[in-house]
Amino acid sequence: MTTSPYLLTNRHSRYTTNIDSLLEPFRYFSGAIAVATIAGALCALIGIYVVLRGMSYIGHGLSHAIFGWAVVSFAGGLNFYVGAGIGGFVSTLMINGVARRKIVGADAAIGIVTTAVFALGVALVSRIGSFSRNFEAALFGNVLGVTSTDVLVVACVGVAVSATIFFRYRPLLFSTFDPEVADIVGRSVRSNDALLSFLLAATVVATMQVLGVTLIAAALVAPPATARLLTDRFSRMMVIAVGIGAVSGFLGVYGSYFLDIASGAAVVLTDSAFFLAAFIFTSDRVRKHWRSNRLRDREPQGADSSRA
Amino acid sequence: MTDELVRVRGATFRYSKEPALIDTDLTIGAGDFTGIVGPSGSGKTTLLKVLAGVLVPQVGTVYRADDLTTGYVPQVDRIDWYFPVTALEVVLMAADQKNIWPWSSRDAKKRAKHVFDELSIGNLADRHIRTLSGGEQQRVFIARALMGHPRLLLLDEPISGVDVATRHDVLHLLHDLNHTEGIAVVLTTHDLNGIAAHTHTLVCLNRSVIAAGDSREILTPQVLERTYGAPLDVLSHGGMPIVVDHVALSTDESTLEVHHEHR
Repeated sequence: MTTSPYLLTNRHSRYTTNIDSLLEPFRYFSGAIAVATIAGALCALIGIYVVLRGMSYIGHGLSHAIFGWAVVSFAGGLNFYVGAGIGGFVSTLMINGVARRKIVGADAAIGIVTTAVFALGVALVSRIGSFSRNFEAALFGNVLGVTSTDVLVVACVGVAVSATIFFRYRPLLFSTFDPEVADIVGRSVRSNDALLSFLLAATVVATMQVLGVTLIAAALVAPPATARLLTDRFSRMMVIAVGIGAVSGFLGVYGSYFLDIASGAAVVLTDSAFFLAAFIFTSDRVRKHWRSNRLRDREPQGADSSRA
Repeated sequence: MTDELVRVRGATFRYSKEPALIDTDLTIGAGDFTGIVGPSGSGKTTLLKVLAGVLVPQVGTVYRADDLTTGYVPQVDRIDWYFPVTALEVVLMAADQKNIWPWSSRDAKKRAKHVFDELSIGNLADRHIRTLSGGEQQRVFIARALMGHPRLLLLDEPISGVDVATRHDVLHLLHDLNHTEGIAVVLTTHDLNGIAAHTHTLVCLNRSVIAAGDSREILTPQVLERTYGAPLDVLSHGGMPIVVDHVALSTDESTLEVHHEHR
C-alpha cells in the first residue's frame, strides 16, 4: 500500500509536500496556464462589444464558421491561422450582407452562414479522413496540446487587439452605443463594424485551440455579462470583464489538472461560476437582505430599550 | 433675408425601390425654428439626415453653408438605456474627434461642464442614463449635440412619447437656445398641436413638402388631409390653430371657434 503524500507525519514535510503539489501544474504546463489566462482576458475584452451590441449569438456561430474555414484552408494547404482568419472575417462580412436584407434578419443570417461553413468543414473531415492537425482539439479545446507557435499567436493577437481597442476606444464606444449619431458626426459605423469583425475573427482563431469551438462563445459572453451585473460604467466593465476572463482562464486550467477534466470546459465552468455568483450577489433579495443588516448594525445600541 | 444654412432643391431619395423623399424643397436659415410634421413613413427622419449631410439624395441638390456645424439628437426610443454609461460619458462621446486616447481632453471636459450648467443638468453628470427622467434624458442628448458649437440643431422626434411637462420643458429649452444663442432648430414630430405654437415655420411632409410656412396659415383641413390621408379639422384658440379629429369636432364644437375660412 502506498502512503499518500498528504498523510506524512512530519508537519514541515507535509507543508512542503502540499505546496509542491499545489505548484505541480506550473511545473508541467506553465505555458498552458499562461496561454489560457491571456485567451480568457482576450475573449472577455472583445466580448464586451459582442455583448453590448446584442451579438452574443455571433460569437457562437463565428467559432463554428472558423472551424469550417480552418479545415478548408488546411485541406487546401494554406496556413491554419491565415486561412481561418481570412475565412472568419469573410464570414462576418457575409453575415452583415445577408442581415442587411431585413426580410431575412440577423439571427437567421448568422445561423445560415456559420452552420453552412461548419458543415463544409465537417464534410471535408469525413471525406479526407485524417489530417496532420488534430481538429478534435479545435472542437473541444486542448490547452495542454498547444505548441509554442500557438502561444506566440495568442500573445501577439492579444497585444494587437488590446492596442487597437485602446486607441479606438472612443469611436468603438460611440458606434456601439449610438451608431446612428456616430455616423452623423463622422465616426464611420461601417468601418468600426468591420474593425470589430476582424478583431473578433482574429480572437476566435487564436484562442480556438485553447478553449475549443464549442465553448468559446461562453468565454466571449460570460465575463462581460458578469461585469455588466456588477457595474454601470463602461470603463469599469472593461476592467472587471478582462479580470474575470483572465482569472477564469488561470483557475480553469489550473483546476483542470487536479480535477482531471478538459481544460476548455474547466475555463467555461469557472466563467459560469463567476456569473452565477454575480447574479445572486446582485439579486434584489440579497441586496435587500444586506441593506437591512447594514441598517440594523448602524442602529444605536439600546434603541430598542429606549423605544420600549 | 437671413443667411441660408441649408438649401434643399428637388431632392429625391430612395433607400431601395420606394422613394422616401420625392422632389423636396426646403430652406433653413440662420436662427430659424422649424418643425417638420407628417405621418409615420413620410420621410421626416430622411429629410433630417439630408439636412445633416449624411444622406445625399439621388436626384436634386443640397447646399450647405461653409463650415456649418450641426448637432443631431436621435429618437431616444432607439437608445439602449441599460448601456453602461453615465450622462457625462454620453456627452463626452461627441467631443474630441481627433483625440486618440481613451480619456477626454481637459478642453472637452471644460466644454461639457459649461454645457451641463447651461442646460441646468450639472448635478446629473455622474448618474447612469437609465436613472434619469424623460426630460433629463432629452437634455443629456441635447447637451451632447451642443458639444460641437452647432449653428444648426436637428432633433428627431424629441417630444414623442413624453408627458406634457417634459414636452414643455424640452420645447422651452429649444426656444431658449434658438433665442439666446441664435442656433437654428429643426425638429420632427407627430405632435402638431404641441409644436404649432413654438415654431416660426411648420413643414407638412408626406414624402414631399405639402405646405411650409406659418402654422396659422398652412394648417388647414385640406393640407392636413393631403399630409395625413385622414380628415382632420382645425379649430382656433387664442389665435393658434388646434388640430382635432374630424369625429371629435362634432361632439364639442361649442367651446372653440371652428377655423372655417380655409374650408
